Amino acid sequence: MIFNPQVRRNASKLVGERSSSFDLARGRLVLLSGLFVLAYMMLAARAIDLTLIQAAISDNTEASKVSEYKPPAPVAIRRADITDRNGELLATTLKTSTLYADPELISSKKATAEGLAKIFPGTSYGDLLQKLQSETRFVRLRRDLTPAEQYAVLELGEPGLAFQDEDRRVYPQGELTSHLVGYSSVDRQGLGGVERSFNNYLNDGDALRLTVDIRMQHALRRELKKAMKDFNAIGASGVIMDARNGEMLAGVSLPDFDPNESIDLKKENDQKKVFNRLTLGTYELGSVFKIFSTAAFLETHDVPLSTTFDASQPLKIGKFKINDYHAENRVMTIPEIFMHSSNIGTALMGEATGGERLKKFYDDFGLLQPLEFEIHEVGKPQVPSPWREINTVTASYGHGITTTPLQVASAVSTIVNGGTLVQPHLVLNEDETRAGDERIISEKTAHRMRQLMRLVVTDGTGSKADVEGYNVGGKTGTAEKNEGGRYQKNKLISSFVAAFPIEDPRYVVYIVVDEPKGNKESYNYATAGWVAAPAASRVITSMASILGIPPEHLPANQDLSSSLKQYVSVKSHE
Amino acid sequence: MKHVRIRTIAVFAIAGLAGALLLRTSQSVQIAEEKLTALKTSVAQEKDSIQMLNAEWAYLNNPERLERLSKEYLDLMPPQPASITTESAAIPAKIEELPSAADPAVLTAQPVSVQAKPPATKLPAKTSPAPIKSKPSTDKDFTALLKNIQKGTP
Repeated sequence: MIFNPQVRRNASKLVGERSSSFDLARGRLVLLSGLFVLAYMMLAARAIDLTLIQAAISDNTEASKVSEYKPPAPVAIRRADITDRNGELLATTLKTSTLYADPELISSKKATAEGLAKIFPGTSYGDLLQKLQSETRFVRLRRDLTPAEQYAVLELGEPGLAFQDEDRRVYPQGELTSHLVGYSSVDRQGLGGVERSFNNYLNDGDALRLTVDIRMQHALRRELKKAMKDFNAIGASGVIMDARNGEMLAGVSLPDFDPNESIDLKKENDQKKVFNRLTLGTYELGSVFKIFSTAAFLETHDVPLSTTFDASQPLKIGKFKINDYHAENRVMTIPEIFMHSSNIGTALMGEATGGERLKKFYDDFGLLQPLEFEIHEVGKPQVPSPWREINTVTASYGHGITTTPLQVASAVSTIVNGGTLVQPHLVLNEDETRAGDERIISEKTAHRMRQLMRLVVTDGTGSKADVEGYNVGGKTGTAEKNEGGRYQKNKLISSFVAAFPIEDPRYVVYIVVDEPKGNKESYNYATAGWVAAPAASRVITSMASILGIPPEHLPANQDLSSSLKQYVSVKSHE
Repeated sequence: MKHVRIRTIAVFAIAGLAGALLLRTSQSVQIAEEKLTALKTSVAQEKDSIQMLNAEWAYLNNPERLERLSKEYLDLMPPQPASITTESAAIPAKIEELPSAADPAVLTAQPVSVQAKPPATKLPAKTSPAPIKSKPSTDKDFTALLKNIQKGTP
């Protein structure tokens, strides 16, 4: 290097080729040394980073924990929750852990087996030891560990033990909503109820809210269970429906099952439990159909309610003979026929309506086609084909034609709410207004039907359904079961459909009890008035306090049925 | 030449500074990312435990259990329509004698003379509280439910 600036300047003043090549060489030198300096500086910086800065971070406890975590794998969408209308959990998915071991990595197998046996009281030391001594590299030891158990296993500090996360569907309400919510398999597939019909929707992570209220669901189930037990019945079903918009507030089918436990459809017992009597089972439901046939008659014939029919003689159609169960054997007005549930009188009304028109009305009420409903378990009604005269007669009092109980409840809702069609539904959708605009019967007929239904409870076969202050209206239905083409006198289906408050019904309750047997309290009667009507009364009592409905005590002359009393002869039924 | 050297030094200084800044930034990003991962993990864990607690809450609050427990431990009866009244007149009037909060004089603390207190006499033998009737609980706890879910898989 030339240190004298003068010389350097002179040197730089060299002209021509020499000067330029000298400059070039010097530039390269500077550049090269600069790069080296930079490289060493980077190395130095990195050394500082690794030794001082990273070390300092590692000392920070939070950060040290952090570095142990792997970045979370993209979270698989968990099967979504199902809740009731108030947000109470009906089905949810929980993360559970499965404990497995790699026997090769376990140092002390005896100590590990001993430790595990202490954590899981149900397991034996011998079993665990045997598993840990196996030759494989993967042994599953236990499924569905609770967080506490998992923690205890981690406390053992054995590197050969590890966990695997699994999803498990849990139904906190157990049996309560078994048929509506359904159940599912371990591989996230819904197998019944909305779990099945909304399978993909739920698996996509979209939560489902049902119209059911578990408080009413419980009240209904409790009373159905009681009726089943009191009358030694083989099954029961029931529904509470909002008569204005068809929302199903409760729906029960007994016997039921616990969806948390594994269900084996090969077992007959499990089959019976899973069978949905409310929406899938079709039955001849008997006299509750008189609501529909009477409504059809009043709609087609604008006659006063004082019109009479001769029910003094059994009705003969071909080889069939129609009798009255609660025989009055006299000429009766329409209110009398309805309150005493006269088959003969109703059959005559059915004949007056005519087969075609009666069938058309039943179809309009939604009784002849499979229901459109949000679960797949929907039964197909059995309708006589061809429809003969005898079918018109029997169908008018609910025989020779089968439907699901849910269809009856929604058809009754259609009538009591003023005559516009009600479609039952189970999934809550607050945005959608389901106010029916399809008129089936006129306001006038609807009003008359409410009067008649009230009369059944105040003076007729359904007196045990009344709840003071809630003005229940309803209709009993006692049907003999048809087995092998013969009606069995001692195998009944007793049902009661109630609507309240009958002045402007908001709720419809339908109770069906399968094969009740009479007991001492019911004087050995197993008919609807003794079996289903009291259950309906108890359900309505519970509903009143659950929903906080204030009672309304009407004086006798303002009761809806009071204007019908003039058509009823003094002789009271009970 | 002098200004050239100064410039070189300045360039090196700036380069060094930029390097240091870069290091600092990359460090802070790394730390932030680790924090983010940690937070994400703990959020996921919290969500899991919320899910678990919700399920447990729903299980413990199922109406059947509540009804059974209230029958067992409370003297309350299921309400009947007769116990609901819609007439305000039927509700008994408030008791008038109770000191009202509007009259502070009544509520002022009165000095209590210690002598007035009777000398500490022997306390009456403590009557043990009536034992709470407890039937053997048929209540499965939640962990038992979880265990029962998958029976037969040890």
